[in-house]
Amino acid sequence: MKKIRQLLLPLFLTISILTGCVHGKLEQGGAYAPVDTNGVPTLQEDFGYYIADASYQTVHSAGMAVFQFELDNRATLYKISPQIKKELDKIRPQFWQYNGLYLRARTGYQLHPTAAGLSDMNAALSKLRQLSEAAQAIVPQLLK
Amino acid sequence: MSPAQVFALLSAIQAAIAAAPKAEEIINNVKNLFTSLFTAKLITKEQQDAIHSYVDAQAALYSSGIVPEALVVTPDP
Repeated sequence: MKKIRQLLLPLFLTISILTGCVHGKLEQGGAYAPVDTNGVPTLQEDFGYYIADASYQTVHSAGMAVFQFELDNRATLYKISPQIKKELDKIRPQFWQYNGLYLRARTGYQLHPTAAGLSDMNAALSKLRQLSEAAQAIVPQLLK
Repeated sequence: MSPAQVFALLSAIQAAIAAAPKAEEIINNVKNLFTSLFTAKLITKEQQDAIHSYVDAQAALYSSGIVPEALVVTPDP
């Protein structure tokens, strides 16, 4: 878990600073660069949307891995430090709430892909990222 | 921590890794994200669709109103 956290922290910092710099290209026909049956783009490729979803996947899966890890090993971890569950329990409802905010903002963006919509997604993602980082920090901190 | 606690923790970690190799999956996600951000490499249709499907699945779960077990707050054991 610590290894994951060590990987994620610089990643999120770097994304915050450098999004918009040199980046990959989206292959036509993918979900973020759709084409019609003749291979003609139906929408302009959307790298911002791709990055938001890719970041969400990373943040969400890392956060959920922590919550699942604690749940799967609750009896053992609780004996070692009851605070692990207590601290994660403070984050769980917020994680679900901001997860929902991101997903609702994404639905809105899919209907009306505007800069403001993407901004709403990124705002929810930013909070979700903080919660994911906090969850990742709890287990190693309380086992020291 | 006592040696017994360390042993219990290591056992728990080993069991968790064996049961769900999430760490590798997450690290791969991070690597893919880095690659897409900092290289001019093509992000394939399959890579895009995999991410899109992941988020769509979460959206469907959220819409269903079912809170994942791992996020449900339950009384302390």
